[in-house]
Amino acid sequence: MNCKVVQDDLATYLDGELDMPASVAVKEHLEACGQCRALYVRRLEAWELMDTWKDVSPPGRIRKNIIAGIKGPGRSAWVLRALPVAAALLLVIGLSIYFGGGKALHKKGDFAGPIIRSNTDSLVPESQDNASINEDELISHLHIFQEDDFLETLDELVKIDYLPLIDEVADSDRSRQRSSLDLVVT
Amino acid sequence: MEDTDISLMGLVRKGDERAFELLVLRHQRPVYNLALRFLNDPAEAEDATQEIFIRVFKAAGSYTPDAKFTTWLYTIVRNFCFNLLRSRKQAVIVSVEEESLPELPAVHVDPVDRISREQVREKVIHAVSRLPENMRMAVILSKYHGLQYDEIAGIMGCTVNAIKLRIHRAKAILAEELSGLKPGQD
Ligand SMILES: [Zn+2]
Repeated sequence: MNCKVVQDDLATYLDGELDMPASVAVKEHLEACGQCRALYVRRLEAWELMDTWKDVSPPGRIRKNIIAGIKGPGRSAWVLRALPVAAALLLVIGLSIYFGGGKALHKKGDFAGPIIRSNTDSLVPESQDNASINEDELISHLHIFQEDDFLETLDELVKIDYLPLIDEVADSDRSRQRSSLDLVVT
Repeated sequence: MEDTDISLMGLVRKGDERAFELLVLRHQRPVYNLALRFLNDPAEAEDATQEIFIRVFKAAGSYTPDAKFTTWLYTIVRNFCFNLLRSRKQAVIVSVEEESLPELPAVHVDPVDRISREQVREKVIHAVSRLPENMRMAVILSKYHGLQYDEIAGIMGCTVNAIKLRIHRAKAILAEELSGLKPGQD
């Protein structure tokens, strides 16, 4: 075993991760070669000096904050969950008005439900033709969320980090394990 | 130990908050210290630890016991910390082939002078914080969490060979940076 090979294996040897024949070969080389032995001692000493950076106890409030964090999803989380439902509802109602002859709007008074209400009872005059319904105008008259609810929802959305991690090409033996690990990237 | 973590996670999946508290109690110290050493900022490490455990609770449903619990947990820590650095726009994630040894500063240490353990500790922290992110995480998991290369590879989403290379390079850098330091008795 030459010096180059031994020096490349030193870190692995130090960590006890070298297979047995290679480990024996490195050990024998270190006994015989002063230059590699000096390098080995230096690496070993540096690695041991890192023990001076000791563990510290986490502040006690961390545990309390974690437990508080998982309890009570709060209003904003409710709004976040309700958002897709509300959006779907809006789409369905909007489409049914647009394609369904606008009967819902013509039935004055009945239209304003608990979620969607019109600012004005005369959004579309009874005599007006369906084709004249302007989508933008319709949307502008709908109030699904109060503004603060909407901003709160946005706050929640921007907290989610979807940044994907660039992983290197995995070994085939890694891919098994990663299948469940990948689920928790964010 | 691991069996208990897995059984606790089974309970957490069903929303058992007591089981979750036990998991927090058991793992908050290593998670906090991993985040602290990697981020080198106590306030950020505290926030990270809280956020990581809240994610553990929320992602419990995606945990499958085919991976060791700590591997899964440290993968969340790694993802969170890397994303945090990216959001700070400080992280430069490069592939292991592109990772080059950073320019080493000249080390002017008189080996005869014995410096205090606290000074050594500061130099260790400085040297580790200068390592590229991928190298730093691998070294911390190896040195301070006693993980094997294959487990580190699972957490980092790369090959065992990539981990070997990173730790080899990191040890060479650390040996350069810390060479000649002899802590005195204090
Ligand atoms: Zn040699």
